[in-house]
Amino acid sequence: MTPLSFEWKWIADYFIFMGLLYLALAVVACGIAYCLIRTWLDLHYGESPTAETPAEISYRSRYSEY
Amino acid sequence: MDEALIPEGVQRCSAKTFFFWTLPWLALLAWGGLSAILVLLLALNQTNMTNIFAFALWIVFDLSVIALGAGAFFTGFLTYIIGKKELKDIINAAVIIGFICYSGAIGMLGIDIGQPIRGWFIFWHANVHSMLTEVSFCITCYLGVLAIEYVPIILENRKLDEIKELRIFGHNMHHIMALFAATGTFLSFFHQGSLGGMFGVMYARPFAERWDFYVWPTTFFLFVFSAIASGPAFTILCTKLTEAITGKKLVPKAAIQLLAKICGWLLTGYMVLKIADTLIWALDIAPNAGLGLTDFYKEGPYGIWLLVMEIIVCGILPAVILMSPKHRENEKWLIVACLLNCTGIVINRFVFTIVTLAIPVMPFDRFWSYLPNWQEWGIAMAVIGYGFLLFSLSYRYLPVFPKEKELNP
Repeated sequence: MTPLSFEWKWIADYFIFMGLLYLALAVVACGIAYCLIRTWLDLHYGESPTAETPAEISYRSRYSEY
Repeated sequence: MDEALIPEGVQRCSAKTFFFWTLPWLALLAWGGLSAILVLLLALNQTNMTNIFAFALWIVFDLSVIALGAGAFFTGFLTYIIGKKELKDIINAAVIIGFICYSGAIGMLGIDIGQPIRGWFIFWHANVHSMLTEVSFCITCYLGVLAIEYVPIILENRKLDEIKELRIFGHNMHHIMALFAATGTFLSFFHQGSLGGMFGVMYARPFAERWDFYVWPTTFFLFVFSAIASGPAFTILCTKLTEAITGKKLVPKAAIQLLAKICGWLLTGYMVLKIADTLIWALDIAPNAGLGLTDFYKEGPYGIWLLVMEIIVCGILPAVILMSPKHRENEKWLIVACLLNCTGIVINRFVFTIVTLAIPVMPFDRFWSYLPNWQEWGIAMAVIGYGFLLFSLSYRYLPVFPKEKELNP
């Protein structure tokens, strides 16, 4: 449901309920977008050391070091 | 045959042995598949659900696996937000277990709603005053978050890891995992709570009704509390089961002990609140509805033994074991305590779902009984088969336990 839907009412209940849902979705979407953009930048400009050489051990194998 | 996909430096059984291991779980999935086809093609009359028992075995299973899957969000919260570094050795397993529980529950709900093709109605034509709408929103979004948390683990597969783009993407996701963990905690808190709140606001059913704290009934908070007290215990159980089956040490003792200790404290806190809530319900809410405590348990198989089992045997007893360092450090006692803890949560969800509907609410009403048929069991067992299968595949092909190599030289 969006504010453009016919059931939408301009009252606090709808703002809080749907607002929190869209906030959570926006945070997740921004997180994914950040990862994609960062990956693209790393691949093209080689800013991350991981872009240069393939890792011998996968990242989560060294999870405790993070 | 599949050696190239197995993580470096660890040992796995042969492909043939693994194939035979998957057969029982594939059989459960086939049973569930057949049941699902029957229910979807011939409708819900294929089940023993009625207008009285619109919530039945599938909802008991849903609520139970969602509570047991809370280990993912709570372990994530402890690891990324609170900063308990020891838990990084078990977080992968917790995420996979959470993903299995939530995706299994949503799959089961897809069958339960009868017409999954209209499943999107709850999102588009949302009733913003319904706790079930909140539950649907949060569970679906949280499954998305769990999938995002699962992706970096999948990308660490030996072959996928060779692809530079995927490796860097997984690395970048890992770096902002705290953001996803925080969002998951927010979503989980509300859907666990609303699942409980849904029962607490059944004012026409004194067995489930509870008093309100602000706009939420006490069951809202009790469901959150019970989920975070039992979810990590389920993670410990699954880890111990994997260790027993593989004959390997997979998680350092410090991580298990920390999780068990936190579980003990949470379970103790939950039991204090649960006992207080039960007393208020028995001494105030039920009498105000013209009923005594024994009136709820005088018919059918659901006697007061359920209350005793839930609070004393599967509540106080595991809390005492987990709170005592001496017993907690003993492997057998730890497993018994975690098993009782998880059983307690299943009994709690069963009582709120089935017993609430079975007990008569009107003087002229009668006690209703319900027994699931094979189609209902089929769908429920398919979730177990799916869980074993996905966890087995993850363990075989992904570096689920970061310290495995170190602990098994």
